[in-house]
Amino acid sequence: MDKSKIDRSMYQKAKVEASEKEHIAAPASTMLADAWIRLKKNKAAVVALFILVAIILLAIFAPIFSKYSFRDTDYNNVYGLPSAAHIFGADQFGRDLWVRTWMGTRISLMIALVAAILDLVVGVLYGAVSALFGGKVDAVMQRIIEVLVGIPSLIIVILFLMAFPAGVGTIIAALSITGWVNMARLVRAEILKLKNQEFVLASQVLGTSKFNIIMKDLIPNTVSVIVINVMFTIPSAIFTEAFLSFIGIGLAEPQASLGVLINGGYQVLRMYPHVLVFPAIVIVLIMVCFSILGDGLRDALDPQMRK
Amino acid sequence: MKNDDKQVLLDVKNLKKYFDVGNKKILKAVDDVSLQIYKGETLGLVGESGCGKSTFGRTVIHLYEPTEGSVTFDGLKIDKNLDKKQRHELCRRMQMIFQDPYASLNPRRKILDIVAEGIDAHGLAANKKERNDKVLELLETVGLQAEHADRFPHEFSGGQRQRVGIARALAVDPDFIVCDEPISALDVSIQAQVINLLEQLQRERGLTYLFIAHDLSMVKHISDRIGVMYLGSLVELAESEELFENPMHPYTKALLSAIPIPDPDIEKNRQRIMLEGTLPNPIGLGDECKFCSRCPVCKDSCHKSQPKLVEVKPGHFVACSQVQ
Amino acid sequence: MGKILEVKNLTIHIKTHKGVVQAVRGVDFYLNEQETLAVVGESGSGKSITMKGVMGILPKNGKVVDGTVMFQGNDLTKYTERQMQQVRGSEIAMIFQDPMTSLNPTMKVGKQIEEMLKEHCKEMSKADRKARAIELLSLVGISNPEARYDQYPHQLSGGMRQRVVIAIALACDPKVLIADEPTTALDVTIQAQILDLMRDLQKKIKTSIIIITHNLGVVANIADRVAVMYGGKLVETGDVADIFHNPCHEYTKGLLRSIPKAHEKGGELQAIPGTPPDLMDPPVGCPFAARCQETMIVCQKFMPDYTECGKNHKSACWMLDEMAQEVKADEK
Repeated sequence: MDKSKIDRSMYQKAKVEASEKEHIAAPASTMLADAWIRLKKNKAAVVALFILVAIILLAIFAPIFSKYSFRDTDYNNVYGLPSAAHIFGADQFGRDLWVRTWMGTRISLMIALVAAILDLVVGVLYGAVSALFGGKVDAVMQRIIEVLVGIPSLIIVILFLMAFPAGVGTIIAALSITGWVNMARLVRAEILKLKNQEFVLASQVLGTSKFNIIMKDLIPNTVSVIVINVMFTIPSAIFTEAFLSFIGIGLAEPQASLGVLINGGYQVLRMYPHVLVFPAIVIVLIMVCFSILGDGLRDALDPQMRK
Repeated sequence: MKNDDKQVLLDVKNLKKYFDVGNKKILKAVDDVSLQIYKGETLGLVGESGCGKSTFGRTVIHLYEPTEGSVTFDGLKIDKNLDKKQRHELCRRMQMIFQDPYASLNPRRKILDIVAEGIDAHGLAANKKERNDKVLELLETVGLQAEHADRFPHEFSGGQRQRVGIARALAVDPDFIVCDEPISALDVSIQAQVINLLEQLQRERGLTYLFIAHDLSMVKHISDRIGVMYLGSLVELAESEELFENPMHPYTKALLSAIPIPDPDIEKNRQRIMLEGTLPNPIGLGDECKFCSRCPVCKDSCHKSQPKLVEVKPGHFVACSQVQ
Repeated sequence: MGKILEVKNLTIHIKTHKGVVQAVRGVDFYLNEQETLAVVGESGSGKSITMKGVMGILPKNGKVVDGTVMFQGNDLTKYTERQMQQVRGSEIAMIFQDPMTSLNPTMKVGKQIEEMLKEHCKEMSKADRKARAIELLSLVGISNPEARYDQYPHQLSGGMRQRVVIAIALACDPKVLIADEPTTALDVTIQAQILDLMRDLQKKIKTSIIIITHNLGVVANIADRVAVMYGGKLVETGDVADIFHNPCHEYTKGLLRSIPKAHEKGGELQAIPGTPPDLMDPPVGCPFAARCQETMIVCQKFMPDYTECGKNHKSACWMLDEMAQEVKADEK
């Protein structure tokens, strides 16, 4: 610094603005904005997010803008290799695999999304009620969960699918019937922790109604746990659906889901590998990207990191 | 000061709060405490961690249901017979300021909404504008500015957050505030800000405080009377001057001599009354005086029964059989 | 008495997602043999980070960008991580605020002391180590050390745990002991015990101590010299009597005014208004200018140099500048 500039006049008393005394340098930001900034720093998560957005866009628009539909057959082009007309090639009935793959992705994603939303609603409500009422209610509700956890979920799902007619709705119901348990447990644990935090006590002391405490103090602070859990529920639902379709008790032809497509490709793997490869790549990308994004979100939203 | 011409605001009688800690064991967090708090005074409550002073504060403000005993606020006995409206009104009149400025504000809400919470809960503002104006006025009262209203708690320093907590309690215009270690998490220069603010508010609004803390020098500064707690019992209660000048219970004596004085000349030549050992496990204590295990003047008779709080001088209560 | 540790122009930056926090901005201090230096300051003034920089245990996103830490003729900032591991524990030891989190809950306390010995004194036999661990436990005033040797941390009270932490730190006779708020988490009666213990130990084993604290009573009790930090800078340093009776920096003066005198009653406390500066965007001038009673224009624009206020006593404040005193005299 240039000290030669200092002269007598600078030794006059200075006025200090009141606002300077309580100055906060960082720009105002919400926790979500902060989390977004932190997520953007995580390269892998950003790439995963991009890929997922691309896959979702393709799943929505690719079938619409294609001249083929997912059930148009072309017997001149059975097991056709990828070409300009059929980017991903064709299957045993000469159906366009480009359209069928994205159609399948659309259905798989939709099943997973609806299943995750059902998990979310049921799980959050169940967990919140269990934690808030406590005592006997909590004890009974937890025993029910333990019984559900005790039975292998795959058995429940398979029995369910055999009892009801196959279709998208049945699969969603089958996935949701056991899926919410995890969410319920997480939300209960989180709310039990929050219940004794001083800001909740403060609301109680102020006479805020129970409903407002739940809506304004408890739920907003469990959002990060919920979001992260959903991020891990979606890929596992996609995988379960694919597995069910693959063993033949999920969706049936001519409906396409990623599991159905993989099942079809698997049978001709040695001769026409392209039938299997494309849906397999898409399902792997979806699973990996959701997991990486979920991890990234956990780091970005983790309340431990902000103090 | 004569206590006769003072009005009792809060009358606590034989208050007990036990916690069931499993295995049929019971933790007597607050064990038969009786005291009165007068209108407009500050009662300090000190003691080591785990002595039940915070539990006492929370039971008084009915965050916990007392196991036994009663709390009477301004002539109104707080129990199950109160109707909803009376309870709601009590919530408005009794407020609390918390210890941890990081945990006591909801991280997902703006300062504006946090401070307005009480106004919303009790419908104290006719419309949104009145509500927001009220909040800005409160922020100014505690030395914060309007520009802070739209920010979130994590952007503030500890002292600023504590002032937001005070503004939140003030929003409902209470008569009585339980201050649960409001300064122990703050820096020294900030502690003085908060204490000054509390004193100023008391003068302006005639507030009554129950001030819970373990920093004795600050408690002495702010309190009119001080109670000392040990393992759930009140062992001494006196006016703050009297307590510091003439401590009678051996625990109070040791506690006072342990405070480090910020003056190197005094501090380096001081003789301390050192207490042997540490706080015993509060679960499953016998009938003897609770302080026996660490007491320098414990006699055989002390092992026989727990001493009761007795007025040995006007306004000076002690629970020690050796003093009585 | 020689200087055992000398820190010059230590500058530490911490990267966060919002920007770089200039946590420590050019700090100079030294530690004499067998003395106790107290570092005081507000939270966020950089006192803990400075010591972590000295120890080489900065968080991942923190970095020493400038300065030297001379310890027995060597610059610790040039040391590799491996060399630092040798220094930590055996030459310079550190104890932290919370005794619960600095002990391993699944290991007996005696074993934890032995771990330290194993790491740094490899020639010791197993029996020697056990004997030494028990000796250390009794050194820190733990009664019945043979029995305590086999206990787990959760079986001990807070004060006991802090004693064990001190025993571990002293296991290899370190030349310097850095204590980061060692009594803040403890009750007053236990705090007094620990302070007494630290003073006794210093006499017995002749170590030098740096104690970080914000409790001025603790400073008065234990310190020989005091360093006052504010806004990432060292603003005043001097002998403990000079700091308490003849403070030079306006922040130190304000700090002393803001504590209630335990033996005097009444009156309003003289608080320091405002909040410490945000070191993401530190002020160009004196860091205390925004909260000072005496702020001059020069304070807001330039950082003051150190002025000697007496023997071993210097302070960075424009009020000590000759010109400021002249102007003040003229005004009168």
